[in-house]
Amino acid sequence: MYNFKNEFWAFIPARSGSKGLKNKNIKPIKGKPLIYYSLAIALKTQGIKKTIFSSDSSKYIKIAKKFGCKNFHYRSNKISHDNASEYSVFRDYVDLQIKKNKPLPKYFVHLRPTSPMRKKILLKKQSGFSKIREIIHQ
Amino acid sequence: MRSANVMSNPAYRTNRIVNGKLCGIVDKNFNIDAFCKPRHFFQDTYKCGPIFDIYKTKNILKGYLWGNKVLPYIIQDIYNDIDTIEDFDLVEYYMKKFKYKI
Repeated sequence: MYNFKNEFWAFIPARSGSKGLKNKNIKPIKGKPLIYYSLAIALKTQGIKKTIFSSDSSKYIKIAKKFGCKNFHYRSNKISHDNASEYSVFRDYVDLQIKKNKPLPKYFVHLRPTSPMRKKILLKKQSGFSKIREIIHQ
Repeated sequence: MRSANVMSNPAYRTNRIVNGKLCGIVDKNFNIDAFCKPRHFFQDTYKCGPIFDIYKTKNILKGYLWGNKVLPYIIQDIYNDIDTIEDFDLVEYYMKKFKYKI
Protein backbone atom coordinates (compact mmCIF):
# COMPACT_ATOMS: atom_id res chain seq x y z
CA MET A 1 0.00 0.00 0.00
CA TYR A 2 1.39 3.38 -1.03
CA ASN A 3 2.00 5.82 1.80
CA PHE A 4 0.13 9.01 0.92
CA LYS A 5 1.07 12.31 2.51
CA ASN A 6 -1.83 13.83 4.41
CA GLU A 7 -1.78 16.88 2.14
CA PHE A 8 -3.79 18.63 -0.53
CA TRP A 9 -2.05 19.29 -3.86
CA ALA A 10 -3.56 21.49 -6.52
CA PHE A 11 -3.57 20.03 -10.01
CA ILE A 12 -4.11 22.34 -12.97
CA PRO A 13 -4.43 20.60 -16.33
CA ALA A 14 -4.07 22.80 -19.41
CA ARG A 15 -3.57 21.18 -22.76
CA SER A 16 -2.70 23.29 -25.79
CA GLY A 17 -4.82 21.74 -28.52
CA SER A 18 -8.16 23.35 -27.80
CA LYS A 19 -10.35 22.84 -30.86
CA GLY A 20 -12.96 25.57 -30.45
CA LEU A 21 -10.84 28.49 -29.30
CA LYS A 22 -7.20 28.11 -30.23
CA ASN A 23 -4.85 28.43 -27.22
CA LYS A 24 -7.84 29.14 -24.99
CA ASN A 25 -5.87 28.42 -21.81
CA ILE A 26 -3.37 31.23 -22.40
CA LYS A 27 -5.76 33.72 -23.97
CA PRO A 28 -5.56 36.95 -21.97
CA ILE A 29 -8.36 37.98 -19.70
CA LYS A 30 -8.00 41.30 -17.87
CA GLY A 31 -4.41 41.41 -19.09
CA LYS A 32 -3.32 38.01 -17.79
CA PRO A 33 -3.36 34.57 -19.47
CA LEU A 34 -6.28 32.42 -18.36
CA ILE A 35 -4.03 29.91 -16.53
CA TYR A 36 -2.69 32.69 -14.30
CA TYR A 37 -5.92 32.87 -12.24
CA SER A 38 -5.88 29.18 -11.27
CA LEU A 39 -2.14 29.21 -10.58
CA ALA A 40 -2.37 32.33 -8.42
CA ILE A 41 -5.26 30.93 -6.35
CA ALA A 42 -3.48 27.58 -5.88
CA LEU A 43 -0.21 29.20 -4.87
CA LYS A 44 -1.90 31.59 -2.45
CA THR A 45 -4.32 29.19 -0.78
CA GLN A 46 -3.11 28.15 2.64
CA GLY A 47 -3.48 24.42 2.99
CA ILE A 48 -2.52 23.60 -0.58
CA LYS A 49 1.00 22.24 -0.17
CA LYS A 50 2.01 21.85 -3.78
CA THR A 51 0.76 23.04 -7.15
CA ILE A 52 1.19 20.79 -10.18
CA PHE A 53 0.75 22.28 -13.62
CA SER A 54 0.03 19.67 -16.26
CA SER A 55 0.46 20.40 -19.96
CA ASP A 56 1.63 19.04 -23.28
CA SER A 57 3.00 22.45 -24.26
CA SER A 58 6.44 23.82 -23.35
CA LYS A 59 5.10 27.30 -24.06
CA TYR A 60 2.36 26.87 -21.43
CA ILE A 61 4.87 25.45 -18.94
CA LYS A 62 7.14 28.46 -19.50
CA ILE A 63 4.21 30.78 -18.72
CA ALA A 64 3.33 28.78 -15.58
CA LYS A 65 6.97 29.06 -14.44
CA LYS A 66 6.80 32.81 -14.91
CA PHE A 67 3.89 32.94 -12.46
CA GLY A 68 5.75 30.99 -9.77
CA CYS A 69 4.79 27.37 -10.41
CA LYS A 70 7.59 24.89 -9.70
CA ASN A 71 6.05 21.47 -10.29
CA PHE A 72 5.11 20.16 -13.70
CA HIS A 73 3.54 17.16 -15.31
CA TYR A 74 4.64 16.85 -18.92
CA ARG A 75 1.73 15.22 -20.72
CA SER A 76 2.26 12.84 -23.58
CA ASN A 77 0.24 13.15 -26.80
CA LYS A 78 -1.62 10.00 -25.79
CA ILE A 79 -3.47 11.92 -23.05
CA SER A 80 -3.62 15.33 -24.73
CA HIS A 81 -6.13 14.71 -27.50
CA ASP A 82 -9.73 15.92 -27.59
CA ASN A 83 -11.22 12.76 -26.17
CA ALA A 84 -8.68 12.23 -23.37
CA SER A 85 -10.54 12.04 -20.09
CA GLU A 86 -9.67 14.05 -17.00
CA TYR A 87 -9.20 10.73 -15.24
CA SER A 88 -6.49 9.63 -17.68
CA VAL A 89 -4.47 12.77 -16.93
CA PHE A 90 -4.64 12.27 -13.15
CA ARG A 91 -3.91 8.58 -13.50
CA ASP A 92 -0.87 9.27 -15.67
CA TYR A 93 0.53 11.67 -13.07
CA VAL A 94 -0.12 9.29 -10.17
CA ASP A 95 1.43 6.35 -12.06
CA LEU A 96 4.52 8.40 -12.92
CA GLN A 97 5.00 9.42 -9.30
CA ILE A 98 4.68 5.81 -8.16
CA LYS A 99 7.08 4.63 -10.87
CA LYS A 100 9.67 7.17 -9.73
CA ASN A 101 8.98 6.31 -6.09
CA LYS A 102 8.02 9.92 -5.41
CA PRO A 103 5.47 11.12 -2.84
CA LEU A 104 1.78 11.52 -3.49
CA PRO A 105 -0.83 13.49 -1.53
CA LYS A 106 -3.95 12.03 0.01
CA TYR A 107 -6.05 14.56 -1.94
CA PHE A 108 -5.90 16.41 -5.24
CA VAL A 109 -7.67 19.74 -5.72
CA HIS A 110 -8.60 19.95 -9.38
CA LEU A 111 -8.61 23.55 -10.61
CA ARG A 112 -9.69 23.99 -14.21
CA PRO A 113 -8.18 27.07 -15.87
CA THR A 114 -11.47 27.73 -17.62
CA SER A 115 -13.07 28.81 -14.31
CA PRO A 116 -10.87 31.71 -13.29
CA MET A 117 -13.18 33.27 -10.67
CA ARG A 118 -13.06 31.30 -7.45
CA LYS A 119 -11.65 33.70 -4.92
CA LYS A 120 -14.43 33.53 -2.33
CA ILE A 121 -14.26 29.81 -1.86
CA LEU A 122 -10.55 29.32 -1.49
CA LEU A 123 -9.15 32.54 -0.11
CA LYS A 124 -11.92 33.69 2.23
CA LYS A 125 -10.34 34.22 5.66
CA GLN A 126 -13.04 32.84 7.94
CA SER A 127 -14.02 29.73 6.04
CA GLY A 128 -12.54 29.11 2.62
CA PHE A 129 -10.29 26.14 2.24
CA SER A 130 -10.04 25.32 5.95
CA LYS A 131 -13.79 24.67 5.95
CA ILE A 132 -13.43 22.33 2.99
CA ARG A 133 -10.67 20.39 4.76
CA GLU A 134 -12.79 20.16 7.89
CA ILE A 135 -15.68 18.58 5.96
CA ILE A 136 -13.43 16.12 4.15
CA HIS A 137 -11.76 14.97 7.36
CA GLN A 138 -15.10 14.39 9.14
CA MET B 1 -16.17 16.64 -3.23
CA ARG B 2 -17.52 18.92 -5.93
CA SER B 3 -18.30 22.60 -5.84
CA ALA B 4 -21.98 23.24 -6.45
CA ASN B 5 -23.83 26.40 -7.43
CA VAL B 6 -27.57 26.49 -6.88
CA MET B 7 -29.28 27.14 -10.23
CA SER B 8 -31.39 30.27 -10.37
CA ASN B 9 -33.85 28.28 -12.46
CA PRO B 10 -34.30 24.67 -11.30
CA ALA B 11 -33.43 22.14 -13.99
CA TYR B 12 -36.93 20.65 -13.65
CA ARG B 13 -38.30 23.74 -15.39
CA THR B 14 -36.27 23.04 -18.52
CA ASN B 15 -37.48 21.04 -21.48
CA ARG B 16 -36.21 18.86 -24.27
CA ILE B 17 -37.77 18.31 -27.66
CA VAL B 18 -39.24 14.88 -28.37
CA ASN B 19 -40.91 14.18 -31.73
CA GLY B 20 -40.97 17.92 -32.47
CA LYS B 21 -42.80 18.80 -29.24
CA LEU B 22 -41.61 20.28 -25.95
CA CYS B 23 -41.33 17.69 -23.23
CA GLY B 24 -40.13 17.41 -19.61
CA ILE B 25 -36.58 16.23 -18.92
CA VAL B 26 -37.39 13.67 -16.23
CA ASP B 27 -40.22 11.79 -17.89
CA LYS B 28 -42.21 11.98 -21.11
CA ASN B 29 -44.51 14.75 -19.91
CA PHE B 30 -45.76 16.93 -22.77
CA ASN B 31 -48.00 19.03 -20.50
CA ILE B 32 -45.98 22.26 -20.52
CA ASP B 33 -48.25 23.91 -17.91
CA ALA B 34 -46.57 21.60 -15.39
CA PHE B 35 -43.23 23.38 -15.93
CA CYS B 36 -44.50 26.94 -15.98
CA LYS B 37 -44.85 27.31 -12.22
CA PRO B 38 -42.88 29.55 -9.83
CA ARG B 39 -39.46 28.21 -8.90
CA HIS B 40 -40.44 27.38 -5.30
CA PHE B 41 -42.67 24.62 -6.66
CA PHE B 42 -39.52 22.74 -7.64
CA GLN B 43 -36.65 21.24 -5.72
CA ASP B 44 -33.34 23.14 -5.96
CA THR B 45 -30.91 21.80 -8.54
CA TYR B 46 -27.18 22.51 -8.81
CA LYS B 47 -24.51 23.12 -11.40
CA CYS B 48 -21.59 21.07 -10.16
CA GLY B 49 -17.90 21.71 -10.78
CA PRO B 50 -16.03 23.38 -12.49
CA ILE B 51 -14.89 25.80 -9.76
CA PHE B 52 -13.10 22.97 -7.96
CA ASP B 53 -13.17 19.23 -7.40
CA ILE B 54 -11.34 17.26 -4.74
CA TYR B 55 -10.31 13.67 -5.39
CA LYS B 56 -8.84 11.01 -3.16
CA THR B 57 -5.65 9.61 -4.65
CA LYS B 58 -6.64 6.11 -3.53
CA ASN B 59 -9.77 6.41 -5.70
CA ILE B 60 -7.66 7.35 -8.72
CA LEU B 61 -5.71 4.14 -8.19
CA LYS B 62 -9.00 2.24 -8.00
CA GLY B 63 -9.94 3.57 -11.45
CA TYR B 64 -12.18 6.59 -10.94
CA LEU B 65 -12.21 10.23 -9.82
CA TRP B 66 -15.48 10.61 -7.94
CA GLY B 67 -17.20 7.33 -7.22
CA ASN B 68 -20.66 7.25 -5.66
CA LYS B 69 -20.14 9.10 -2.38
CA VAL B 70 -19.55 12.65 -3.56
CA LEU B 71 -19.97 15.55 -1.15
CA PRO B 72 -21.32 18.82 -2.52
CA TYR B 73 -19.78 22.09 -1.39
CA ILE B 74 -22.26 24.88 -1.98
CA ILE B 75 -20.48 28.03 -3.09
CA GLN B 76 -21.39 31.63 -3.69
CA ASP B 77 -18.70 32.35 -6.27
CA ILE B 78 -20.22 33.19 -9.60
CA TYR B 79 -20.55 30.15 -11.83
CA ASN B 80 -17.99 30.68 -14.58
CA ASP B 81 -16.88 28.22 -17.20
CA ILE B 82 -15.13 29.57 -20.28
CA ASP B 83 -15.55 27.74 -23.54
CA THR B 84 -16.31 30.37 -26.18
CA ILE B 85 -15.12 33.88 -26.98
CA GLU B 86 -18.44 35.19 -25.62
CA ASP B 87 -17.67 33.48 -22.29
CA PHE B 88 -14.36 35.37 -22.16
CA ASP B 89 -16.19 38.66 -22.60
CA LEU B 90 -18.77 37.74 -19.96
CA VAL B 91 -16.20 36.66 -17.35
CA GLU B 92 -14.11 39.75 -18.05
CA TYR B 93 -17.24 41.83 -17.49
CA TYR B 94 -17.86 40.09 -14.12
CA MET B 95 -14.22 40.60 -13.13
CA LYS B 96 -14.50 44.30 -13.80
CA LYS B 97 -17.92 44.62 -12.17
CA PHE B 98 -16.82 42.87 -8.97
CA LYS B 99 -13.28 44.33 -9.06
CA TYR B 100 -11.89 40.80 -9.06
CA LYS B 101 -8.24 40.65 -8.00
CA ILE B 102 -6.25 37.74 -6.52
